[in-house]
Amino acid sequence: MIIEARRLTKIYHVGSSQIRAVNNVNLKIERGNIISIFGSSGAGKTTLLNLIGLIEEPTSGKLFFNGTDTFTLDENVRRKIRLMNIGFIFQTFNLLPQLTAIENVELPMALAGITLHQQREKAMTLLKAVGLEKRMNHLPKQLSVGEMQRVAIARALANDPQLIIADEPTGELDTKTGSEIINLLHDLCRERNIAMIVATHDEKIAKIADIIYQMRDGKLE
Amino acid sequence: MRVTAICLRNLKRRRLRVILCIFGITLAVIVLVGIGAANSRITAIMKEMNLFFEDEIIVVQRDTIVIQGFPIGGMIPEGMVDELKEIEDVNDVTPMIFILNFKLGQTFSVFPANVTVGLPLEKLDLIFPFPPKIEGTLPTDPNKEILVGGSIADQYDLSTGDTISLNGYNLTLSGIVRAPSIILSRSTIMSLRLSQKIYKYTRQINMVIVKPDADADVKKIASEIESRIHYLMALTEDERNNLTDPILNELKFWDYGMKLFLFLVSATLIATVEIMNVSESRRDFATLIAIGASRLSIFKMVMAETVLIGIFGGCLGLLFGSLVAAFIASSCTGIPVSLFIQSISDLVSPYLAIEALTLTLATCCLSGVIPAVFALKINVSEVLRAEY
Repeated sequence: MIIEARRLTKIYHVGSSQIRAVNNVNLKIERGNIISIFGSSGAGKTTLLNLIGLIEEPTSGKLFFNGTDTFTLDENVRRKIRLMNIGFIFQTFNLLPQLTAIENVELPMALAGITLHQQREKAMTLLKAVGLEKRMNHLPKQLSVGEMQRVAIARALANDPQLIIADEPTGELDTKTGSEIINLLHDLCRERNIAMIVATHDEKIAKIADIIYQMRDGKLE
Repeated sequence: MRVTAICLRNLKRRRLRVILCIFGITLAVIVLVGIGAANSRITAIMKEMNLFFEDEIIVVQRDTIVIQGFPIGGMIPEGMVDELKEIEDVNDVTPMIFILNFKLGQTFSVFPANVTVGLPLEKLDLIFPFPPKIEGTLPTDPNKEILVGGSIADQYDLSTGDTISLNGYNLTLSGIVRAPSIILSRSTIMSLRLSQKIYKYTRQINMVIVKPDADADVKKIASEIESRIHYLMALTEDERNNLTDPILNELKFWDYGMKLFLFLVSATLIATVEIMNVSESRRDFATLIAIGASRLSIFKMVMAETVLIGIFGGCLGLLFGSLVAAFIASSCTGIPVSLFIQSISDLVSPYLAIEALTLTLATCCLSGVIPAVFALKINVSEVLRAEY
């Protein structure tokens, strides 16, 4: 079991009112599982992913990562778990605009202290795997949106994570490119036995998963 | 990827803003170096003057302006020397002419372009507080031989044995004084008789150096001189220092004031530019933290950016500031700028250069702290959510 969420709740305070973005969510993710969280905008998908990705702390409940209660840990330990075990893919790709494609892929490895030579070698392999071997030295602004998301996928895989968190990975893409990207992600995760949790409001994208959850008003169904 | 490489790319990405910021810092360092060099040159000259005539009494005409041991103008009858010799506890008396020349060729200058010293040739060692290196020989003929300082010789391409014309008199250059002294390097040194003849001080001088006996009370001798000859002013070493200390303190005060002003202006400029950079990079920082970068590394990135700006601005400022200092010194003295550039380390001392660079880097580091803390406090989930 990679992830186990128990009665996970996140409440935001806006003025005098409270918003339960995530409400008593229980969830288990095994190695190699592909899970999709399907729901409309504002349902709490992103907040749930942020909690699972250890970016946010819950108001109540527990989240276990490989059996460890993560929110009892120091922020620095949580950061290392994120760096070494979780790969993030964002809707707007979030590539660093000043770095080339290969440098963006090298970034998580550089943060992990991997040697420059090993960084370069692995980044080249990953970019080949996502079909961008000829675009390695291009800046994000020189790439198409589909190519940018491919670079983001390669970056997410850089430190051989156990879990990929993809928040609306096809949100900025046209239907054809979106389905290419989601299939690529699916295949790469299957090849490497990596668990993936995808948040989407697109039913077709949600269907690639082994398990589909519906999220509504902060509750997982 | 190294942090510095990312920072350089960040700066390159916002090049117009960064160039303007570097330009601002460069201007600040130019002012710091340019005015600092002029200031430190004046201070150095005044401090150097302290080294002349230690433990001796300087006698000048009353109410004459005296900078350390050296009078500006004034006139004393030469016969007064014999009267001074008769004062109790006076060991030796040397008459002297000291003239500040504010004209070089056809150009008037703000600061003296050179100095003329006339004194008995057998007492030349009185004006050498530093052991000088003489190219050639000391003058032996009191009617036509002179010494000149190295800076004057270099300026006019003079060498020993050359004949030069001064106020219509043809003089022979017996030697060139090479000494680590701003005053001596700009001096023309000759016999007292010759200087009286050239500058029309007929049987007149403008200062007397009085050497007291070994254990004599210097203050008492000075008082005795002033009470005996009412139109003379006798200055002991302490009194001379008291005359210049307020000037040196004033210079130091303005120097510190200028540095503080430049520090505050530069710090505000850098902090503003860097806060703008950080605001625009919030998504990048949030992404970096999300994928596992520590907040400390974000802090370091912002600090590295400001330090890089400081290094660029500081080095450019030092380079152009040195040139500006040379032009200021040249326009104030009338000495060609090339001479100052050749010996730029005399004008902009290594100490001043290190001080300017250190101050620039310190300013950048301190002003980088505010934007770095701003970057440190980013709410990652909020920033990432805002981008969707």
